[in-house]
Amino acid sequence: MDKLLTTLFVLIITLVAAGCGVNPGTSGDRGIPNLPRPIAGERALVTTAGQGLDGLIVAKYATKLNIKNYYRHRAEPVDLQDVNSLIITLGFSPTGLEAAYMDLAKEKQRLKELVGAAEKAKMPIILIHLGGMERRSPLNDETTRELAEHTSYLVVVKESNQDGFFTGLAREKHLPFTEVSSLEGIKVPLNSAFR
Amino acid sequence: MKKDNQGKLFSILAGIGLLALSLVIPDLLEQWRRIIVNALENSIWQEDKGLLMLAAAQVVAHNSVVMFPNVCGSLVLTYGFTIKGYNKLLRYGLPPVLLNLFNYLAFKQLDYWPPLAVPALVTALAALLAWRSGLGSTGLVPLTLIPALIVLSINSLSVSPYLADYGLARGDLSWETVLAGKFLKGENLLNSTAITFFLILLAMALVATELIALHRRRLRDAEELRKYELQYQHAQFQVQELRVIQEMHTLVHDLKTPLTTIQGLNSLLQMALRDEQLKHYTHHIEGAVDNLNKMISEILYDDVRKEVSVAELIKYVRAHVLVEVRGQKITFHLSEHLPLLEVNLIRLARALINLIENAFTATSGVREGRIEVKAESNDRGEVIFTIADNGVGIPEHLLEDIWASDYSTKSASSGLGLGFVKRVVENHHGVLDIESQPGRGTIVRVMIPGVRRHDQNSGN
Repeated sequence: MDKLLTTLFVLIITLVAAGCGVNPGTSGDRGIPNLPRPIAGERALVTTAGQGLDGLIVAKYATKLNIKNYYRHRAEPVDLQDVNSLIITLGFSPTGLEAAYMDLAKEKQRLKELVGAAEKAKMPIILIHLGGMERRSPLNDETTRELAEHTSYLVVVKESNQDGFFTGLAREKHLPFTEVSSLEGIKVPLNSAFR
Repeated sequence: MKKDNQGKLFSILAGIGLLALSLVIPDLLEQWRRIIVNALENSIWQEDKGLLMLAAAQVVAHNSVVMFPNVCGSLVLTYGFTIKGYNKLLRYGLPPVLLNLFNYLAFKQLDYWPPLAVPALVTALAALLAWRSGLGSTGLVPLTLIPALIVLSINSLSVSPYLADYGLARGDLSWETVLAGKFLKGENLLNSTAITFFLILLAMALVATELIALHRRRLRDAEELRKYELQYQHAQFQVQELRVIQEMHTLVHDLKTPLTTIQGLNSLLQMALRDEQLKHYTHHIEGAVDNLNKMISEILYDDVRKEVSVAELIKYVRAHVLVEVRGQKITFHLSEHLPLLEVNLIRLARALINLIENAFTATSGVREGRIEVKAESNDRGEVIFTIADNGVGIPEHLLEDIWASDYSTKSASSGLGLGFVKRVVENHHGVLDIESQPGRGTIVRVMIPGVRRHDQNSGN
């Protein structure tokens, strides 16, 4: 029994030590803390790119900030009527897609049409990434690059930018960019975009 | 051996079946995942930590159900391959290797399949505990219960926001739960609940391992105790048997004292008597006393031998058995020109009587029970006594045990019957053979070497 407990203890310590090694530091460049002046008008349409729950969380934060918004997880161009800005929360979730009876092709098509319609209506698009490295698959990065072409402001949490991908992208596309340390931290840049 | 092979085959098939199940189980749980996503969404809408905890519990259960056949399959498969040839390295190392290989081949295309390291770790831990518990006849319990507890315990950690930073929030559902927890400021609640459940379930797995190991030790001890008890009973029986024989010897020996008196007084009478008729009677008495003395010697000393004809032996036997009981009939057939025997008449006759009495018992409930006693000879000059009956017979698995000195199927029996027969036959350098078919009857053959002389003869 003693031997077994020692083995288990060593195993758990090894696991935790290995886990600690997995967490690298941030890129160092956290962008601007918030926008100097508002770029978007109310009412905002909040949607997701990838059907994760992140979109709903952003909508709830917007509501807490008294930013008029409505959340549609499968928003279509028609939903852009009566709105002045579009917030897209990026993060492909296989279970989210499954729950929404969507597949990747349909989701990408929906996003393409939605962004096209928003751009046509000269509507500012705010792109947010909350999902951390878990939501940083090649598919997510590819979609981020595509959406960055049409984005007015990029907000990400620190966990999502561990490899500096968003910092580099913002620099490349000359995008205003803010990295926040926690989920709740997005309230400041989000508020600055509207007020 | 056959049972081992069957168990091995069953384990291999069950292992393959479980691994195959792990391929389809994510698809089977699609509807459940929709319910969980809705529950998580609901907790965010209502900003309710209670709903979040319920959803988190479902996430842990879902992840465990997905992981269990995978882990358990690789364990059972390894168990099937290494059931006999015990190789520690193979037993501990093979399950995680098998699991990783299988998962790499099967799931590399699937987004929702978690990183491979954690399932392998879980499998290694489950293997460690399952093998430690000893398996054996309780194999199914350690191979299912212990992995189930470990899978649940490790998956409890998958909804901890703190451990998510270290890569433990495996799978999309876990990550969604962690995100919802962060939004609802429920990180501490999720962390503490996850770690508490992890520790409790891990402790349960350890306790289960020890209990199973203890149970196995108890079973082994009980088995050994039973063996010792049997040996003790056997020894006790032999002591009892020896004591009975000694007492019998003393009693029989005591018979010689009055016989000596009779012999002495008879000699005096012979000298004193004038009447020829009475003298003739005293000669008879003398002969009878001599015979009785010889019989006593035969009873007392196993190695006392005398030449007897088969007919004489059978005559002695017949005098001691009932030839016809209601519903049972015994017949005797003696071949001609049987060799003489040099035997202990009393003991050999007693052995044959025992066999005949057993045949009577076997045919007691049988309609038209028949017992046939035959005496024949073979080319080697042996006399073969055959006692055949059409009684209830003896099951095959009991045939080896019946010659043991303490064996008996009769509750009131001393168990001396067939053991005594075997000993007597062996002491006469004879051979004993039995054939039996349940429901059809039993044939016992006793082969005794005859006296090798050309002028021997025997009547019927």
